[in-house]
Amino acid sequence: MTWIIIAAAVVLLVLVGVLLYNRLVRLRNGAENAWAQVEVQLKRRRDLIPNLVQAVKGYAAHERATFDSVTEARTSAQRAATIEQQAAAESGLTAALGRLFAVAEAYPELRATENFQQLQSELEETEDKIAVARQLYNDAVLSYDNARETVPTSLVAGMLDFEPKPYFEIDERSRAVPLADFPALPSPQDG
Amino acid sequence: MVSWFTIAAVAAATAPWLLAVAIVYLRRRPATPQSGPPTLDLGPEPPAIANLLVHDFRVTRDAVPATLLDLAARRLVEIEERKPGSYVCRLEESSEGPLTAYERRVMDLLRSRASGDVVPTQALTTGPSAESSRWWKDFKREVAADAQRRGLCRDIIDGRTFLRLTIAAVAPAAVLGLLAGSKAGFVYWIAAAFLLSVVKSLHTQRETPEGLAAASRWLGVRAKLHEDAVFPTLPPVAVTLWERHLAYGAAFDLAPAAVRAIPMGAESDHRAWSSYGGQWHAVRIRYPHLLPPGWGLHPLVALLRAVLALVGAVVVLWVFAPAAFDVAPDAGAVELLITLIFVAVPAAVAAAAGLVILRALADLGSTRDVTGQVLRLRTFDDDDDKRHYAAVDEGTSSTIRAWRIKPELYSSLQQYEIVTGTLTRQLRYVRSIRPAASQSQSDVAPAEVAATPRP
Repeated sequence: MTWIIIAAAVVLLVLVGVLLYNRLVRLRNGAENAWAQVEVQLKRRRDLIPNLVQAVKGYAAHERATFDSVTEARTSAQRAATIEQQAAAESGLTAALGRLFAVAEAYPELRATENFQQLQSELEETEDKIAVARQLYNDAVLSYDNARETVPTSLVAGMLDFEPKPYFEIDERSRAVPLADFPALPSPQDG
Repeated sequence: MVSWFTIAAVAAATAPWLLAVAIVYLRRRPATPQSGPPTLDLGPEPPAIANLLVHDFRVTRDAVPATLLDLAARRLVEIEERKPGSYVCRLEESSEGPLTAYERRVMDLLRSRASGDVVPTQALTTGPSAESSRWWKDFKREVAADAQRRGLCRDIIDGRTFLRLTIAAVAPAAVLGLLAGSKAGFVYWIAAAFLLSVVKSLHTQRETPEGLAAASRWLGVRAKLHEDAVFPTLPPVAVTLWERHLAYGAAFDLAPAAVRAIPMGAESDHRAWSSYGGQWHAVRIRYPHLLPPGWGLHPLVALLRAVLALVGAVVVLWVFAPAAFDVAPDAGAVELLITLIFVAVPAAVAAAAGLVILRALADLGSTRDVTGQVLRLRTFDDDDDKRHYAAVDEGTSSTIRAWRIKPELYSSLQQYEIVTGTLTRQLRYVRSIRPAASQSQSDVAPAEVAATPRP
């Protein structure tokens, strides 16, 4: 009888362990998937940059330093290997893009072109998506971390090396695209 | 007593009619569409109609949150996350646009609940259960009407067929009328028409060839979305990333997390969201009945009742207390318990009555004006006691004790209006209640939703 009770307890313990392990795996996968969403949006933003630089270059070719800084920031964002590096690189890229838009501000004709307006609009939309994707990722990490650090899942997490995941922290206030109204497109009569 | 001959004759006359109804219903049941190839290409139909097409030509409850998500994907509404699991809807400036009747219905609901263009998704309820039920029926009817306009479905029993079957029921009714009197025949005919209405409401829509093709295409979209394991976990705010696909996922029962966050059903009696006081906040509502004693009573009535209760309790104590003290220490447990009950209960009643007397006396000469928003108007019907309550949020507490009010005051109120009540301070007897003089709902400062610092 005693052996049966011990065996039942062991089986129950194993079952509970498996359930807790599965929960941790699901949460970890959820965080990884959410990070994949962030990466998709970050890549989309990086893909818009060459066209944007070309568009500004056509009007302000002498602003070489600004273009170089945007290109360098984009390259370092592409090379970032960890989430922390990615966060730092993306903040740098955001700042460089901000300078690029500051340059564009000085050229009303540039801002009035359809191509530039479309790029600006796409970039703005992408930044919205990055913000949401980042939010979802951080929520997923919070759920994962909570499970990793609270009993009873923490017991399984400790034994099976469930590593903590970093939050994707960037300056909430920084935004490459100024939230300004688009200037009106020149009418055909304007020449 | 109805004779067997009459029963047999009516049954014989009814059988062909019932057969006709059964044939019409069974032959016109909607066909089951075959799923098309999995695809992410969305068709022209909005999510509510896609919901009808993939659910056997019936609209399900998920069509409502799916419509809201679709409005968000179309930038007419913005959904924001304020903290994990807590979402708000914000009406966009360009929220006017070409909308279907049911989309307008959802937008109107949003506007009616919003304060400062913002409303928590949990506050998006469609009213008390009866009102909510009407809202939902109208929503379904509008979706079906739009689907019919697009040529995607048609009535199972259309008006002409209904009329023909109703007229056909005259035959067995006439047989019964001849054999058992005209009154019995008429009642039979009314009952037959009622039965026909029930059959008609069981399943209202069936396919058209175009509808079947569209349903097949949407089932293909559903199959493709179903392949994504993440979909069930996506919150409503993910509509920014997934755009209209999330709305269709919600319409196809594939986005339960997003749908759960936007309940859009009947409102709870005991929980509500209020924007009164400048900040959206959740409140719990209680409808005091026996406790606290005297709640909502006129001070004089409360005083009278409390005095009577006090006298009764004192008499009981007078009789039983000496006996209780005489109980010997070696008395049995049951005897001690009974004695305790005869002492403790009247003592408690006396204490409560004393408290009510004090509160009623304090209330005799004092009232105060309280302004707040009516969050719930409820009537509870006990055996012989109909109790009317108005739950008014003053913006000062997360728990509200609803005011018990007179029927004539109750009938003059509307839910969500801002009112000023004149009530006593202790027992909260409502002397009068009226719309607030200077504060209508629109005058109240737009509410903010508290945000939690995020990582």
